[in-house]
Amino acid sequence: MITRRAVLAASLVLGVATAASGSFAWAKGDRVLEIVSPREITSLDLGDTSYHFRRLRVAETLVTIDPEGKLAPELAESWSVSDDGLSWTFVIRDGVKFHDGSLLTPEIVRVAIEAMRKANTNSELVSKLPIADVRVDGQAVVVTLERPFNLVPDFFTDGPAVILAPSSFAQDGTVKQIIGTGPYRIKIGGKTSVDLEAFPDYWGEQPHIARVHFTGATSPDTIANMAEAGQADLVLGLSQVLRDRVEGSGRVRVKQVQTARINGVFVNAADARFDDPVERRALSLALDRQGIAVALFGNPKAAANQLLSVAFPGWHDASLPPIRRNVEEARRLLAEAGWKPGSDGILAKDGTRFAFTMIVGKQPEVASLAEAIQAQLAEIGIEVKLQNGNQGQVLESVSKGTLVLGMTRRNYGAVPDPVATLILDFAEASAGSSPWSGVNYHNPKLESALNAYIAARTKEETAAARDQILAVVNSDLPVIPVVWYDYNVSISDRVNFDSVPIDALEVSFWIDRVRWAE
Amino acid sequence: MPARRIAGTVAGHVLAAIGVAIAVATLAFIAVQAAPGDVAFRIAEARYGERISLQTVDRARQATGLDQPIIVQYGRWVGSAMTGQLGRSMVSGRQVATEVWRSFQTTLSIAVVGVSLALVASLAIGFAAGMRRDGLVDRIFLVVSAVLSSVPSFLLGIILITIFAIGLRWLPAAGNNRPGYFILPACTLALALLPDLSRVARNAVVRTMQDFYPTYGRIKGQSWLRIVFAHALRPTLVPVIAYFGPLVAHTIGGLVVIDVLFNLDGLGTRLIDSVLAADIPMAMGAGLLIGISVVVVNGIADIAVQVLDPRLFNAQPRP
Repeated sequence: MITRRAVLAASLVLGVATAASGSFAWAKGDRVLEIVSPREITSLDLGDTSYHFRRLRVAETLVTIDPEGKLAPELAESWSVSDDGLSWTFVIRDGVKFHDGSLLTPEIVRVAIEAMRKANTNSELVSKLPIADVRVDGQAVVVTLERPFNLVPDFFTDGPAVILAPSSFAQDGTVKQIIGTGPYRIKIGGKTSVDLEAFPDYWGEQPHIARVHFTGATSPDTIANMAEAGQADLVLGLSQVLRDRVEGSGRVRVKQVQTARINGVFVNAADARFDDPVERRALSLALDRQGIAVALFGNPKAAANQLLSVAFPGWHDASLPPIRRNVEEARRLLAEAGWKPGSDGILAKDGTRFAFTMIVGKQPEVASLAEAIQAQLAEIGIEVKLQNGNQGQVLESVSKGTLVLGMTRRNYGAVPDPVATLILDFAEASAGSSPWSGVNYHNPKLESALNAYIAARTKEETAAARDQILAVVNSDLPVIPVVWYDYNVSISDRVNFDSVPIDALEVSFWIDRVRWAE
Repeated sequence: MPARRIAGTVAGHVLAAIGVAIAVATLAFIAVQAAPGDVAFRIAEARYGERISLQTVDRARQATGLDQPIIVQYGRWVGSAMTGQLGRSMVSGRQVATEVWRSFQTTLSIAVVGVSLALVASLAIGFAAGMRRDGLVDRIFLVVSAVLSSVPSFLLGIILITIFAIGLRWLPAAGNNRPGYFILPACTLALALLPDLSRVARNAVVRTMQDFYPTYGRIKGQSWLRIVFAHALRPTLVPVIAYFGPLVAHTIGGLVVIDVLFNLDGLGTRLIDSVLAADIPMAMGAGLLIGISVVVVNGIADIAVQVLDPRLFNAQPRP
């Protein structure tokens, strides 16, 4: 016989079980992935903001780069090139929807490419392609070039090459909102934070986590606090100087990869102090890369002995020996170049003192690196005064012709092939406006090798051009590499550690692949 | 008539608000222009970060009208502001009014909670210390307040974050997307304001307790609570509220530090970031709102003092 007491007890058990399963469902289903990055979303200008929204998997490009650094189809399901190397055909994926429900069509892609062509800034690579014509052919878009250019698919992986819905743009062509095709769409957007939710009509695999909150925080200490407080599931771009502190808390684990960025110095090759490659080699020998890598960056493997890091497997030469500090040899080279110590110990030649001011950014590791460089160059008779500033001030001094030497944090991995960035920096047509790999540096051999590389039709031609490029940049030293930049991702214990891909080219956060820990 | 007097006070403060707002906005404009370097480079740096190039600088210059003379730029902004249009940010391209209003709401929520906490705590501490001048509580208060006032607010914030966010994990360390996000910033602000405010309260209590009516209350056998609430609270509040003017100015400085530490998009960082990035419309919009806020709070404090102690404003000048 079922008693009233039994019914009450059963109801109680059922109620508790329902509540528990409900809260469990809430815990699993409604949990928000909290991600933090040191970069804020400052504007809607595609020259900047596209990188953010591509990393957040909101906006997509025709071609992308997978976490292994290889080209992969995205909005173009395939691409091919004609035998003469002049026509590139991108077959546009069918049935792709924008976040406003509209369909992606080849015509929308064509209009987008036409807009990219007009951008004409160094931050938008597609504008540098020698495009003669863009037309629609059925479900494909055909890009016809004026001359063969091998890196067309690479250039279409660039951030500003994202394809947005027509409703994203105001009448004057400026972006008013980001309506992309990615697995996440924007729910609420702001400067320091963005709420994302999974897009149910995404053409590909649905994300494992439906809700994401992104925080952009410029203070490295604030980011470290958030990671230690368990407030950040993923910190993407944790400062190297704070890595030990965060990892030491025992609440997070850190993944690290060497990126395509180089921390180094670049020179004004027209200045009397650095117009001779011998002077640049002397400066390079005066630097204690191993000491800097260990003391400031906590990673002996960060010491750079060439321009391109292991992020470029086809370009990085693992057989090259490390560049050891050799003060005596540096002094000898400078003496050979005519530099003699003055009464104050500072080198001088023809009335020019080897002294200059270097503008230094505010990031903690950059300031420490500048101080180390200052102290090490003082030992060979070079006086460096440090001035706090930013990249805008460095560029201003370039435009005024007053820059002698600057610090750079150049990313050669804007697209998978480093030649794209090298063209921007060293090809005659664009080098003047992109000084981060050297100012007033011209080498016809380098320009010819870059041109040969992008027009090469065989593997042998490509390899020969690549060897020539590497030989010149690593011996001429328009950029003096000091340390490679490590990209750190801190992962909380709520997240499945192995599910977090880490991307040496910093193309995407790949948050759609991330899973909760069991 | 009290109503007429209050209306006069309000009118005076409205005029002052307009004057101060224009003055602060103009100062923000001058600060942007006076900083070394070409404004277009600073805007391009803020817009494009590491992707800045000479071409993006030219793009920023053309898009923002920086090729116009400075006086034209200023005149154009004042003209727009008169019609309620604050323009668009030179960095983000977003409406200044919307952005500044959002930052103001963040700042207001923290300021209201922080200042209220500081006010309540300072009155409680002020009474505890001032009721028995030179007693044990008073001596402890003087030492603690001296120590606390020498600790910078960012350090107070770090201590609170270390204990309550990192150690106990009770509250968020930064950001404004979690419940209770404002508690640590507000407590940091309250702790930064507490030493000065509680000293004002304590001194006011000491003065009040020397007056005849608390003594009369004691003679009548009234309890301490009755003496405090019926007699001493009102005269103590007058100097505390009158102190709100300089307090607000102090609060704005403190809020910048708090914004940075807790990664809040408040009015303080909005002003500093926009001045550094040479975002002229944003700097002037933030300056305008800060100027108005200072005058409004001063006005409210003035009226509150008049209501609490009308004698201060009824006193006739001596012949």
